Amino acid sequence: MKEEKSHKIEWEIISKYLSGEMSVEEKLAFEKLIDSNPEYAEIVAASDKDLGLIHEVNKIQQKFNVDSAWSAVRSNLSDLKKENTSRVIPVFSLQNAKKLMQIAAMLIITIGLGFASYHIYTNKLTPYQSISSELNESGKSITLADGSIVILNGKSELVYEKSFTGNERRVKLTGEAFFTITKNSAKPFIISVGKAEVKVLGTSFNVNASNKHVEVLVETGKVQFSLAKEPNNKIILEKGDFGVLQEDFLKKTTQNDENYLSWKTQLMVFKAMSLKDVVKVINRTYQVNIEFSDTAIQNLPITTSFNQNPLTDVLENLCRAHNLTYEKNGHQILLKRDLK
Amino acid sequence: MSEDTDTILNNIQKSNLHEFEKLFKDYYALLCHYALRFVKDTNQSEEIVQELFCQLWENRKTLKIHTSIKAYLYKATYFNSMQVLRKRGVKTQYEEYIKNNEPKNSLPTDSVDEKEIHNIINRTLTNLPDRCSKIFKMSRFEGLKYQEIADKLSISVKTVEANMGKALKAFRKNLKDYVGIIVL
Repeated sequence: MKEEKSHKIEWEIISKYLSGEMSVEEKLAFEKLIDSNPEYAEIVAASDKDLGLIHEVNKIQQKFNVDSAWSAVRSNLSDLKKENTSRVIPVFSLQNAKKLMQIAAMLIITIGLGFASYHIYTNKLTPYQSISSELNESGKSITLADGSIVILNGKSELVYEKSFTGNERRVKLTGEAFFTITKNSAKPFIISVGKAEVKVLGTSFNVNASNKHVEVLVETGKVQFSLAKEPNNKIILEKGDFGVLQEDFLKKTTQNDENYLSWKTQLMVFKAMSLKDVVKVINRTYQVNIEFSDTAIQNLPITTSFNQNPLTDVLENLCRAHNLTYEKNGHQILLKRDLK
Repeated sequence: MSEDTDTILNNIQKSNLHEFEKLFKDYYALLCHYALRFVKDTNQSEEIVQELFCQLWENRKTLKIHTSIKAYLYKATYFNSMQVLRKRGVKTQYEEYIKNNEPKNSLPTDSVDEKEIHNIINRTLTNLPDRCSKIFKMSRFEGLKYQEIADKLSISVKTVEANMGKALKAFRKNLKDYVGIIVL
């Protein structure tokens, strides 16, 4: 009964009261009503707050015109967007003097190595382009003119020809990348990497030159791995093979580390592995540097797996297993015992 | 990290401009208002927030947010405001001021969702019948008396009253989960 009644009165009258539209008598009578009915008083107080809030919000929105601000920001973005989506740096871009120097140097090396058959001068302006990744940008990929796909790990660079005009498809790699090469037996795909050359007809494989030596892991197809200066010093790698060039010595072996490609797959599997080794894989996969507050932690055993988890999930999972905690500061992460 | 933050960030990282626009529009006025508390200059506070969103877009690929996107935006606004104050050479005074006057409240807590409140209020206004929301705005935003509204719209004061009641009721209904915790 009471509720039904209070339903009927309220809103018009409350509004009138809160808008200061009541006569002195009305107001007195209304306040008396509120005093005798705490529930009602609550509604009025709440509505009063609502109105204050609405006023406040309106004032803020009036003051800052979101629509004109958005068009200002947006017009700024389109430039950024253009720059970001094609991270391709034209060789002769004036803004990029440093890059220009690097690539000019590479051109000289390439010619010096005797690949003058390249129609470098036919497409004088920008025959070469490069894509590079920062430390935290692993997974950046590019599709080359022939449809081949190259996925860069962090801190790597690939220099390539804009359109493969010669009788080879030649690129130069610094760092590490995973290649999926479009088949074209007429035009071999050649990767110059450090002292080595990797020659393929159509395949997918990983090339890692981040350390002193060059490593090639073949996922599918057939790859010829050789020294650039003596092309006859070569080994043929097939599916699952792992080639290493150390000093001037080429070696064919197998890669038993199932986390070798984690940087690309973001899939990590740990079977009773020490935390120290686990951390090595994580460092490589997420391009971070994890350290330990005390050495005792390093040998804790870990058995778990991660599939494309964000770094924080990985860290939290590891910490939970052994009562650890971590502090992150950019790429630096410190693992320590949780003393809570 | 909340689901919400993950999804939004994920979409923005995929260069989803629509999601970015939504985020911008949800937070723009709030963050400007927040920056204004420190820099005391409307234009400057707008500059800070616009710059912040430009940077966010520029760095979207590498951006990692470990708290919520809201906490991130407020914190970034706070730091950028401090930057401006430092350039002006007043940061130390301001820090003193905070120490003495505002021990805790300098960052909004996650329990109060101003963005949601703004959304509710905007949505409620839009969902009211046109005339009702018009009357409400004239009364509350333009400060007109009931009689003035009635005259302007050639309607009776009774109709104004009825519509005002209707609007108030709608707001109360939609805001009831938030009342009591709101500090703006």
